[in-house]
Amino acid sequence: MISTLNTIMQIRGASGANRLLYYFGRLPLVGKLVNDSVYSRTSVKKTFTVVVLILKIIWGFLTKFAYLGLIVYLPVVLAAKELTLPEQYDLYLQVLVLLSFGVGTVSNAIILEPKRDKYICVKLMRLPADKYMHAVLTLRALTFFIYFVPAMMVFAHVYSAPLWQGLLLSLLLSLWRITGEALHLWIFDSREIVLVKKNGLVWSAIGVGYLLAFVPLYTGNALMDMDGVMFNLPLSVALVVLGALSALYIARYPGYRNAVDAVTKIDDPLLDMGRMMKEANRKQVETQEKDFTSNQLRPGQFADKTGYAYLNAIFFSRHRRFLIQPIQRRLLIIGALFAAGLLILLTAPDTFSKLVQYIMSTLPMLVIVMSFTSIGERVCKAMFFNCDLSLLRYGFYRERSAVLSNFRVRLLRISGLNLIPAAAICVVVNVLILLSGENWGMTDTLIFSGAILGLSLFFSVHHLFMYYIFQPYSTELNVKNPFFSIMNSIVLGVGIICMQFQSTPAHFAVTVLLASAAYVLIALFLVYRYSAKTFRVK
Amino acid sequence: MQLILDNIRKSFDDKSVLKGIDFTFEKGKIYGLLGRNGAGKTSLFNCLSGETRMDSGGAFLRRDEVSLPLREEEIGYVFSLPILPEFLTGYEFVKFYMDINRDKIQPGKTIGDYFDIIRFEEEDRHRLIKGYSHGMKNKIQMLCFIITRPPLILLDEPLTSFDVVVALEIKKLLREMKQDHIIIFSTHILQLAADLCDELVVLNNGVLQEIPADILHSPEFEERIIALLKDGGEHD
Repeated sequence: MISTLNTIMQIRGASGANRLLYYFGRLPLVGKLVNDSVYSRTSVKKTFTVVVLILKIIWGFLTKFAYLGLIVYLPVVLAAKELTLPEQYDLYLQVLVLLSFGVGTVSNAIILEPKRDKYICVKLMRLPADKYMHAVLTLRALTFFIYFVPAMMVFAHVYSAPLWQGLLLSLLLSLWRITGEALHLWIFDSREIVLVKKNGLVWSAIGVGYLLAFVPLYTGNALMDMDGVMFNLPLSVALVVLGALSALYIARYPGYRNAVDAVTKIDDPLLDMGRMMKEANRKQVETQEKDFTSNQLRPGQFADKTGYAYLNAIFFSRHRRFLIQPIQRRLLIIGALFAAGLLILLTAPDTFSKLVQYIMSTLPMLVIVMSFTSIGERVCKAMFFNCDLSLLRYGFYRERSAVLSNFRVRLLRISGLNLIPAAAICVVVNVLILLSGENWGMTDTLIFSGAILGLSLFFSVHHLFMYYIFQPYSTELNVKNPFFSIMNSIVLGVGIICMQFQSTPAHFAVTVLLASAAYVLIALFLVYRYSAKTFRVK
Repeated sequence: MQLILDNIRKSFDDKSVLKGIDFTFEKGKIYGLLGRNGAGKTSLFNCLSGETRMDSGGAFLRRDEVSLPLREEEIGYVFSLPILPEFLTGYEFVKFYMDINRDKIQPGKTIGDYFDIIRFEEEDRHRLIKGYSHGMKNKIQMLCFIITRPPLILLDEPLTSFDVVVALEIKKLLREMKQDHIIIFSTHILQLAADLCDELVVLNNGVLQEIPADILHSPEFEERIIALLKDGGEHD
C-alpha cells in the first residue's frame, strides 16, 4: 500500500507542481523566469513538488482552523456572547456535531466522489481500483484526524475545556466519518445509489443541518449538556467499535472497480470544474436552435438589407433573448414602480411628497440606476461568441471599413434599445414629480430628461467601446484583458463619486450631459482610430 | 503572377517554428505543402493570411514585374476546422459574403448558381450552419473563395473530412480553378498530395524545400519523402 500511496502522491505532486509553475509563469515580471523548458527539468520540478506538498499540508491545517473558527466558533460568539463560557461550549459542540457529524457525513464523503485524480490514476494509469481506494482512504482518514487535532485542541482551550477533549473529539469525528464512508459504500453496493451525486438530497441535508445548527443559537441555550453527551465512555466505545467494523468493511469490500467506474465517466462535468465553468459561460450566450422558428429561418425576410446591416439584422433578430427580454423586464419593473408610486399618492399623500423630495435630492443616484438599466455587456458577449469569434477569422471582417460599419450598425441598435427604458424612466419620474405639486418647471423637466437620455447613450457607447477597444473575451468567455475590468471599475467609481456631490438637479444634469458627450466623442474617436487594430480574437 | 515568400521567420516563446522561408509559387499550379505534425504548416498559413504577425520577412505578389506586399483580401483561406457564424443559415452567410464582396463577383451569378457549383442540397441551404456537418461547413468555406476568386488560395488540411464523392468533386473544382490562381494546400496525406498536386513542397526544420518533379511520379516516391521528413525530424 505504501508504494501505491507513493505513486499516487507522485502523480498528484507532479500535476500540482505543473499547475503551480503554470500560474507562476503568468505572474508579471517573475513569470518571465518560467519558460516551457521548466516543465521538463526534473530537479526544478522535484523542488516544486516538495513545495506543493508543504503548502498542501499547511493548507490542510489552516482549513480546519478556518472551519472551526469561522463557521462554528464565530457564529456562536456573535449570537451568544452574553452566555457563560461552558454554555457557549455546549453551543459550539452542538453546532460542530450537527455540521461535522451530520451534514459532513452526507455531503463530504470521498469514497464515491467523482474526482479527476481518481480518473487519472485508475482509468488512465491503470492502478488497481482496490489498491487506489485503500491507499486514498487510509490517507484521508489519517490526515483528517491529524489536521483536526491542533484546531480542536486550540478551540477546546478557548473554552477552557481540557485539551484531551479536543483530541478525543478529533478521534471520534474521524471514526464516525469512516463509518459514514462505509455507509455510502454499503448504499451503493446494495442499491446502486451514489449518494453524493444526489444533489437534491445533499443540498437538503446541508440546508436542514445548517438551519438546525444555527437557528438555536438565537433561541438560547444548547438543547443538551453537550460535553456530557459527547465525552463519555459508552459513546466513545460505541464509536470506536463502529469505526473499526466500518474500516474492516471498507478494507474487505471486493467491488471497488465498480465503485470507481460509477463515478469516473469521462463526460461527468464534476470531474472537470474548468469545463463546467466554460460550458456555463457559453450557455449564457449561446444561440439555441429552439430559439428560432422555421419562420425565422425563411429566406428573403431581410431581403431589403445588405452587407453588415443584413448580418446584424439577422443577429439581433435571432438573439432576441438577450435584447428584447431584458428590455421588457426593465419596462415591467419601471411600470411596477410607477404603479406603486401612484398607489402611495392615493393612500398616503404625505409619504408621497417625502418620496418625491427624496427622488429630487438623490438625482446623482441615476448614474447607478442607468448603469443597471442599460443592456450591453451580455449583448457584447453574445456578439463575440456567436458572431465575431468566427467571422474575425476572415480577412474582410477585420478590415477597417468593415469593423467601423459593423460598429455603427450595432451602436445604433443598442442605443435605440436602451433609449426605450430611459424614455420610460423620464416619463415616470416627471409625471410623479408633477403630480406631487413640487416646484418643477418645464426647464427642469427638459434638463432632467436630457440627463437620463444622455446617460443611456453614455452606457450604450461605453459597453460597445470597451468591447471594440479592449476585446476582453477569450474563447472560453472569461474576461482576459485586465484593462477591461479596470476601466469598468473606474466608470462605476466615477458614478459613485457623483453620488456624493450634493447639487441642484440642473447642475447635475448639465454636468452629466457634458461628461457623457465628452466620453462619447472620445470613445467614438478611439474606435474610429484604433478598433481595426484592437478588434481581434486574442 | 507569382507569390514570393522572402525570409519569413516566426517563433513562439523561444521555439522558432519558421526559420527563414524563401520560396516562389507560380500561378496555374496546385502546390502540396507536406510536413509532419507540428512542422509549422498552419503557422505559415496564419502568417500569410495576416492572422498572426510574422517576426520578420514578407510575402509579395508579383504581377508583370511589379511586386507588391500581399494583402489580406488577396487571400482565400480555408481552415482545417471550418469556422463560420453559426447563427446564420448557409444561404444567409453566402448572401452576406456576396454583399460584402460585391465588386469581386462574376456578374450574373446568383446565390443559387454558387450553391450549385459546390452541389449543396437545396433544403440544406436554409438550415442553420450550427447543424451542418464538418464537410458541409468546409464546402461553404470553399464557396467563399469560389465567389471572390482571390489570387492566392490556402487550404489547411482540406479534403480529409470529405467523403470520397465530395472529395472527388472538390478535387475537380480545384483543378478547374487552378489556371487563374496560386493554390497551396497543406496535408500529411501523401497519396492526396501526389494525386492532386503539380508541385510538392516540404516544410521541415522551419524551411521550405521543393521536391523535384521526377520524385513526384517515381515509384519510390513515398519512401523518398518519408526519408526526407525523418531526416529532418531528427534535428529537432
